[in-house]
Amino acid sequence: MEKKEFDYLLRIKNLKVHFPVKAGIIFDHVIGWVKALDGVDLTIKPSQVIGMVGESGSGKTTLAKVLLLLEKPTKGEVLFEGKEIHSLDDWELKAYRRTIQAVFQDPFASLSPRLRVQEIITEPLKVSSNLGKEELDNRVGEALHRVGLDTGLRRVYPHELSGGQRQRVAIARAISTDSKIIILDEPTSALDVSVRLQVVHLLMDLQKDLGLSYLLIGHDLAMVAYMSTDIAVMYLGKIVEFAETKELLSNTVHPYTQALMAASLPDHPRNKRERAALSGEIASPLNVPPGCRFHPRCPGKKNICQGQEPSLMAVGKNHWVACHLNNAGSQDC
Amino acid sequence: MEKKTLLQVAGLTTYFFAFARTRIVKAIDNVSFEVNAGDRLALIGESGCGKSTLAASILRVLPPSGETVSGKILFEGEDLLQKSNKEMTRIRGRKIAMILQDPMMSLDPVFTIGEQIGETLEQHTRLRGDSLIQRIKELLLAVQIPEPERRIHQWPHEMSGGMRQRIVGSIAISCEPQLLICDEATTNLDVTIQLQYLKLLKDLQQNTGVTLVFITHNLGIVAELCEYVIVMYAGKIVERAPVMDIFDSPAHPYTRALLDAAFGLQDLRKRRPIPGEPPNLASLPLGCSFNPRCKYADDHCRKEEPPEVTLAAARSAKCWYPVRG
Repeated sequence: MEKKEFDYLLRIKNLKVHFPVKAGIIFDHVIGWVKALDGVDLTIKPSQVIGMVGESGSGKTTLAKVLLLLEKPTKGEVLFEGKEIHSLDDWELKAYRRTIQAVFQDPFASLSPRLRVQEIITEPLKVSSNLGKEELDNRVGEALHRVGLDTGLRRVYPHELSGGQRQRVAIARAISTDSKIIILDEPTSALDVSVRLQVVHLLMDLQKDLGLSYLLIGHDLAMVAYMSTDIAVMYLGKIVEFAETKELLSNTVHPYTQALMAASLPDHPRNKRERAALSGEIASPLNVPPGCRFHPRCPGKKNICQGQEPSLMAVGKNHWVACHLNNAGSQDC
Repeated sequence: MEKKTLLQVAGLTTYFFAFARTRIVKAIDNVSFEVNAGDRLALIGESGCGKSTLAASILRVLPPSGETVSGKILFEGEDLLQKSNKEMTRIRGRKIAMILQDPMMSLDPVFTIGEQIGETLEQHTRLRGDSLIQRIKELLLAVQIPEPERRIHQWPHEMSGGMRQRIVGSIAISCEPQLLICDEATTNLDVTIQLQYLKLLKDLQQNTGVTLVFITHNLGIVAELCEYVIVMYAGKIVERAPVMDIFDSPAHPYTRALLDAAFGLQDLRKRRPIPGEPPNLASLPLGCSFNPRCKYADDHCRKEEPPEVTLAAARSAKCWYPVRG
């Protein structure tokens, strides 16, 4: 079979997800739209770890749901090997589901309490392929070995495992299908401090060994920066800044990213500095401010910010920013 | 200037009993510490190390399976463990207040914001009618909630997470308590809102002189806000020191490991994880509780529990081989 090579795994183009808000009991009618995602462009390449940061309500999880086919986009498209993921035929859909897997925040909720570890790990394989029993057993053993769990644990139920072990099972499930992209939605926020780093290192090692791509969703900028090759900063359903991790940290352009960096806490009392806390809260996606969506909280806003919405512009190599304040004059990086 | 001791906990031991008292979970084991009036103390450690149980023991709000079996909790010189339930009701909320992690759980969804703040005030003060309303508005302004006239009639579900946590804060300070215990008070908030909240707490502390005890596992909060640090592991205090010393020269291997495992934006170099998992409190290892995870542990550590060694003024570590700074 002829196969065309693509230099990307997934390409997201102008993706919008709007949820209708309805009123009325019998004759309900739409009274507004919650704009969870409002025009997102993103390309995920092989072996790339894209960190996605932003406050709750910025649309990070909605994006993950669209990629996992749990939510239908209102507009825009997601291309997988050149095809829109929502118009794949059955055969292609199985291949897509094998390619993309997810690990969620709470391993107590994401593992079925009625299935043994073995069944949990083989479930995505059974759905998306027709491997025999022996092959399935081998896959489970290999996946458990890869995540650093004893293969004897295949017979136990999730309640017999600790939080860290459960998250390892969830990771084993995600890699068992030879997946290429794993969506990590806050993979460590439910874990203890000392176990958290073990899981982070496990994920980083797997990424290197298996050549995986990650879409890492998190709100802890320090943790996301530690793991990612690139970072996308989201605000109210849009990406406002995108750059390689080092570039983003050393040459932060968007005022929101600057505020996120300033708000992250010091790692030593000596590094404590006086800084202004960002005023206000993220606006409701039901009522997106006109113009630049960040302008009500922006310390340096100008007139243009209230009237015209900025689009993503390149300010350096692989560095894009959507901000009027930096459109001119910052090309020299 | 000599500081006054506000809270003195001595030999506090709290156990949980399971399976008809056949299994004992030693949640807090012989814990002693002091808090001076006006201090900002951090209590750090992983979940299950006894931080929250310690707070619940001080306020005497342990679940039915828990019991404080021995020790003393001297608050302003009086032992809270000797007080009757009625006396404790007068202390909780008025002298010692607490902010919990989840503002959706600590606010009642069927009462308005005004009613919930007013409840505490009616319980402990003689404010009624207009002067009560006036005080509620003052409190809302004190936690930087604009338009108190409108907010007072709103319900918890109409507010964002950050706003709800501010309301909980306003209830906690409503009777001007001497001691405010914040149990993971900012864990559920977004980073920008977390910074706003920490600033608010710091301002409140400076304006009212309230003593803050911050229970957290986030070392960033400790660095940002606190003056003294107590590190707990498996129900025991393993190290205590001023905040600078904890970050500069941690004496206990566990403290050192916690610092090595923390993420920081200033430093993206490879971090070192702590091997293993926290121990089961119902069957602790023999000797030092940390020994199975400690890279310095030897036979001595595996056989005998280490004593608490004083290293300097206000500094100690519970370890056979503490690092002397």
